[in-house]
Amino acid sequence: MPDRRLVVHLKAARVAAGLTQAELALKVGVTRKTINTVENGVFIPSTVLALGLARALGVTVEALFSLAADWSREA
Amino acid sequence: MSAADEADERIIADMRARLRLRALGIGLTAVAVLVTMVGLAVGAHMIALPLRWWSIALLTAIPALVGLGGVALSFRVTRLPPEALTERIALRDSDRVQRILARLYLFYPFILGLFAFNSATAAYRVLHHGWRTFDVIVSVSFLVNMGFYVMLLTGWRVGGRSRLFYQDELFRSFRTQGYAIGFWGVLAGVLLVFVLGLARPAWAVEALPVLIAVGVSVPAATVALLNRRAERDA
Repeated sequence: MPDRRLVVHLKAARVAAGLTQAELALKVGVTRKTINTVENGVFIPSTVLALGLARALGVTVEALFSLAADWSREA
Repeated sequence: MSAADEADERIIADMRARLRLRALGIGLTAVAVLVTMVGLAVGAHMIALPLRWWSIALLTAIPALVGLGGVALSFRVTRLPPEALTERIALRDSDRVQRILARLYLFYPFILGLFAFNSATAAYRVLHHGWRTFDVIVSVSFLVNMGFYVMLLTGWRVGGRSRLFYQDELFRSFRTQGYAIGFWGVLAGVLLVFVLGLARPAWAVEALPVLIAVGVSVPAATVALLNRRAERDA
């Protein structure tokens, strides 16, 4: 079940970079399903993976993930 | 499809063929071990082999050697070419391998349950009819199966490309959740054994293999269900 506290922009950043899920997975060294579940908010990645994704896409971590406006109330 | 992609696809097809052959080799080894165990147990019973430490060691060592030899030979004959062991190739094939692992996690508890039931009935015979070689071997064989289950679940001693799937962050997260839920399964099993032991100690020993199997199956089933849910939600 997706975690509503986190807003994920990974899919938009990946598409903008012209990569498929499989290609991004190869770049970062995880499976395609990991990328897929991160994109859909089903799985929240570790800090290391988030940094790896940002580096692979040439953006900042904040460009990939942000907190929902009411995150503290749902936490 | 680029030339590099076509080359990857060829390597993946070759790997699949080798892995199918390896699975066949391991399956035949399992049958050989079973036949050896039954043959030795029947033989030991026919010649009334005394149950001493050396006879148990001998009857355990022979099937173990057959098993180790068969597995080693299967791996030797079907070993993957160096170019097939790259992370790139393994990750390209990740969806299929994860699906197979999840299915194994879902169905292996049933196999474990069968072995546990067999072990429990053997334990009953040991407790009520004394130490007979065949019953002792059948009862203890459950431990070998449990060891294989632990290797499958934790990825212990797993090398090559399969290691990537055990190290994958999503899969690690599933297993962590599985262990957390599995704790309650094992705790419930141990408490039940304790209560049975209070009522009648022999019941605790007889029930233990089945309860262990149920308890330790919880993490594997949890991982399989989480994997299925992730596929559904994604």
